[in-house]
Amino acid sequence: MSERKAGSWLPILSAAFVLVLLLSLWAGTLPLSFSELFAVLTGQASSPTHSAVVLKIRLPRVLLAALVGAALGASGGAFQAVLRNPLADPYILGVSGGAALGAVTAIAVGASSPLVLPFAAFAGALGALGLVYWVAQAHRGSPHTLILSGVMVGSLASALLLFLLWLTPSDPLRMAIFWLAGNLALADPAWLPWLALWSIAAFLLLWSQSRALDLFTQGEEVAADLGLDIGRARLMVFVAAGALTAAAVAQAGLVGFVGLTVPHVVRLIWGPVHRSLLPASALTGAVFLVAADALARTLLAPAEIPVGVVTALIGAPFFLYLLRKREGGR
Amino acid sequence: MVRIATIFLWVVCVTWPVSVQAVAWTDAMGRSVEVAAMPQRIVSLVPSVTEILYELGADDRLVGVTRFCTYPPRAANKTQVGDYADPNLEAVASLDPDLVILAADTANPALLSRIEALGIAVYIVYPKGVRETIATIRNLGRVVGVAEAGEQAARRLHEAIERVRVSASGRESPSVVFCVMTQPLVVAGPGTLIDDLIRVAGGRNLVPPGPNRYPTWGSESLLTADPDIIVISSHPGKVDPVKLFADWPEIKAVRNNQIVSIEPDWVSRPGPRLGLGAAALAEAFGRVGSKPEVMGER
Repeated sequence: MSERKAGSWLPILSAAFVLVLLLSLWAGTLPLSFSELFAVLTGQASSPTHSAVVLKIRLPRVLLAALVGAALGASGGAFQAVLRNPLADPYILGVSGGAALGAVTAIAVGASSPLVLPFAAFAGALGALGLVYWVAQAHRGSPHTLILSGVMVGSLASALLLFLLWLTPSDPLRMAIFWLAGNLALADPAWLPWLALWSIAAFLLLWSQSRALDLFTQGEEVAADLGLDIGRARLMVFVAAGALTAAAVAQAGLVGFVGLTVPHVVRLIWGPVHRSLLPASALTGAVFLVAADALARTLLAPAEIPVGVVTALIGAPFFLYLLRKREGGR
Repeated sequence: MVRIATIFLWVVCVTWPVSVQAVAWTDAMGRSVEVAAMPQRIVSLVPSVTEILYELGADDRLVGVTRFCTYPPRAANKTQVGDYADPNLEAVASLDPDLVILAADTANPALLSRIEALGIAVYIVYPKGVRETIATIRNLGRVVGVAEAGEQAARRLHEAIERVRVSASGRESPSVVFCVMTQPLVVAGPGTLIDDLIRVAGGRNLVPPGPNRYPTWGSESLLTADPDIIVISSHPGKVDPVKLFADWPEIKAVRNNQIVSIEPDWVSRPGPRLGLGAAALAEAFGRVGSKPEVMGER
């Protein structure tokens, strides 16, 4: 991996991000020419419908997709390193189950407004994380304990969730299912600034641990020999990545695939150094989810496809291709 | 001798309805079903069929219903066997029914063979539109042995629907988006019972045909479609329809305050109450044409 190539992620990904941002502001059910889009963006829209669609519908949704994609990409990369497990994704530590349980509890008791739902999901996610943390702390957060307690807390939450869904009448139930499948259309735009603040803070905390993450991938003995307080660093990563995931899940439900795949792709292309891997994964996650959501909105317009279907449909083949090419080329 | 006579009588009693008075019907799936001429223990696994059986006065022979059979309210007093897709087989069997009625579009496909394996006659209905609902009412009347009541109830619904159709004809045809769910927005497309009712009531459904009859829409699709009227049928107490779309004054229906709520069971249950649904829709559509300037008035 040459030095030049390792540093090339920032300009490439930034350009891709701007491009995807513009494309997904342009694409949608309402046909819009680029000059009309430009008119809207410069405040000279000829029709109020155009500006409502672009500024009130597409823009918040694109920003949400970017934030959620970035949060999942970065936290996925961190979890894979700290757990030393290529199958780790942001949901591995019970966050998904906890968030789903929180959200569905809110839906089941009839508190399904876009202002309450994220709180409930967030509380559920933090509750699950807290439980996992509490169990794993007894073992200084060993990867084994973290994964096992995460999976157990997740299973417990799923069981409670299934029971709750079974109790729930059919109407709220359908809403819960849409939520569980991941949905970028339901979030209230008023949440965006809070999501952004929270995510940036959690990301900076995570990024400050990049050196520790590098050491983890070398093995724990090496890391300890080099003077790293393993337990503390591991729990820091755990808290930061968990906070990122919890916020993303609270706003968009369980968007799959991004957190698992994006860090692998970034690692394959730009190498495994976390100081660049984490921000590059965040940007790639943002680009990927924004593009996938634009496709989900337009492929069968006016109907929408669940975004999780699109992420896996494009993501999986691309990843397989990359895997084959890189491994074969060595 | 007495013993032999008793046994003979018993055998006759047990086999009588089957051997002498069983009738073969062809159900909505084209299956031939042998049903007692006057089935005595009916289990309905379809809420709309439960409504129809009450309408036909056959409810005294209805022994089991689903937990969604909420109309008429006294249907809740019947024994419940679970939900319509996956009822509790043991509960069904323990009612010892001589007829179980399923709907083709809501039942779990494996259910049919499981119930048939218990030796119970299963009659399948598939009322996917208004015309099919009328036919279902007529057919159910025959199958449960009250053909005349079935004929009358079918005619009543037919006449109710035709009255709406006539009253709506010759009127300006408003464009409609019908939301069966609001978060996310799920709309009724072509090929649904609701689409049929919109047409009867003189409206024009803006949802285009697609792979999914109930597609999920984003707000953008709603803004682009720009309907004259938005109809919502979600269960009461969940949403205030006016507040729901207040953010989108760009939509004609929102600007003109043409957002109406309709009792979901009137339009989603293919039963005797479809006439109410069609009439409510026609009334709402009529208001669109006659008073375009009703802003702020409710």
